[in-house]
Amino acid sequence: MIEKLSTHIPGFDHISRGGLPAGRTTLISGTAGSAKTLFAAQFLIQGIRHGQPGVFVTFEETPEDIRSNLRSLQWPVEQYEKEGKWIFVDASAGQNHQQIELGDYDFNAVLARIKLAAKKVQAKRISLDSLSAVFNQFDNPGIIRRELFSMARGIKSLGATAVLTSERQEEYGPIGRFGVEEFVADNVIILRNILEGEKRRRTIEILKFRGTTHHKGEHPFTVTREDGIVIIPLSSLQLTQRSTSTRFTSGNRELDSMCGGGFFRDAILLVSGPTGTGKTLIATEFLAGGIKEGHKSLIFAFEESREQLFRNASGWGIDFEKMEEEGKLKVICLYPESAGLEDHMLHITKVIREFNPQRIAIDSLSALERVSTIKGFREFVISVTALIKEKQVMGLFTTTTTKLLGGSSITEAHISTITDSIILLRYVELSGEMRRALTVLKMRGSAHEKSIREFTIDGKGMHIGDRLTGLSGIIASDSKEF
Amino acid sequence: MVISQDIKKYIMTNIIKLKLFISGTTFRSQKAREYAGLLVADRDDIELDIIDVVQDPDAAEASKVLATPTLVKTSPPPERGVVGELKDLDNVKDFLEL
Repeated sequence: MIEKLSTHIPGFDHISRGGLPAGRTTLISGTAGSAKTLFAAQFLIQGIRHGQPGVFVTFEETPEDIRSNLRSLQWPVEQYEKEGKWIFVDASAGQNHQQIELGDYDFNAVLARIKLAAKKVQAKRISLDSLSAVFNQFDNPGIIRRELFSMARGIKSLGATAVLTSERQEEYGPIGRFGVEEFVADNVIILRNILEGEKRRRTIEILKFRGTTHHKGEHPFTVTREDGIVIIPLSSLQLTQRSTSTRFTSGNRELDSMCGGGFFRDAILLVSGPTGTGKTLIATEFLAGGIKEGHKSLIFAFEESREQLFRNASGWGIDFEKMEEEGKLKVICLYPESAGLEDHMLHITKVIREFNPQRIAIDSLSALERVSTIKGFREFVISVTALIKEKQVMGLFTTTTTKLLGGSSITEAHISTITDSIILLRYVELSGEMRRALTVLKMRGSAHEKSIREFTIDGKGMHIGDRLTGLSGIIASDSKEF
Repeated sequence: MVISQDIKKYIMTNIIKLKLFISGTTFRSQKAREYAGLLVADRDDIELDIIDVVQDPDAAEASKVLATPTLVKTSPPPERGVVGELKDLDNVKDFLEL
């Protein structure tokens, strides 16, 4: 059993099932700008914050450049250096004099310096940035290859956990530029910075963890000002057996009875319909119904302003302002384009952890589709769902269908399998009139009414009326009277 | 007295200082040590300092050396280095301007 060292890089210990293999070397390979140096530095910073000093060996940038880059992240490298927790081994080309090569050589000098530095600070972690830059400082590739092996062996013999970076030229190509990098280290991690449909997407993939397990595939990450690299775990989604059959109101009595007595405590609900059918209304009643039962409720609104939402609610007899004053409700309005999906995800996570609600609504998910690639969007939905499941709260997402009559949305296609219930809202053309219809399409773990019901909206909210009989094709958009 | 101090100073400033970094008793290091010995034989104006990086890593750190063997000319400027076992002495002399 290989022990793992918690890196404390946000999200990494989850996807790696516990961290980096302890006392081993791990290659971090990525294209220019893929945040390799940041990973190497953050690995040390997080170690120092947890009582593990580190050595930073730089073949590329000068220590001064690295210090000043990390200063903007508010990582006090200089202070750590003074406290004997961080030490540089400056192997950058910057200070080097003119040099020629005559005959065979080895890297014992730099290894001796790394050993000395490790001893000075009692290093538990070592970062080396980068292997590729060594090739810029020496001429003979054959010797360099041989010596990189022996340098990696030497670093490993120190007993610390080490990260070695290397540069690659293609996002999906050879692991390293010189064909030797991946063999030098025990483990391999790839950082990517992909341009996809005019949008940048950063991912991390654990390619090889010798003798131990990890989560497979690419995981998105973002770089923030406060925390540096933050990885968003996707694979934490597990549809665990419902631990309880406790039900709570949807906020609408008639809808409760259609659903067989309300929503389950940790259910994920999807409300789908064209614009104006009443999705925001259902979300509003869902939140208000929760607050009546003593639940704290939270809404992320991506389509309407605060004022608009509050006005809507009061039009249906619900006083959002008072609820928020009493600390029972939190309304967060965000502009979808204001940030990337990963950043929205981080924001949502932060607010959920701080506010600790029992109910969460997102209105609408489809607004977020605009700012992301399809793959990125799907990952986002999975992450949000996983978070909601983890917190055991009720989540309600709305999604807008593109066609006014019937039709489906991309959102639906991507997330219908992970939702517990789906409620469809539709316009129905009936005897020369546009009317609204609703049906519960799916109710996981429970029986529900399968009929299509007409509903109306007035100053007191939504009223579900009778079954629409004598009609067919409502959901598919071409209703026909018999 | 004053004059002799000046002469001393003059000689000192014109002396060529070399540092040879080696690591233990590897074949490469022994070779370099031999060649460097040949280089300074019969030369009063060259001062050769041999440093074993395994025993004195602080000196390697101070000079920021990466490879061994490395022969560095530290004075007079410009500072220059030759990496490798120095087998072609004429080339070494040319490059270091000895």
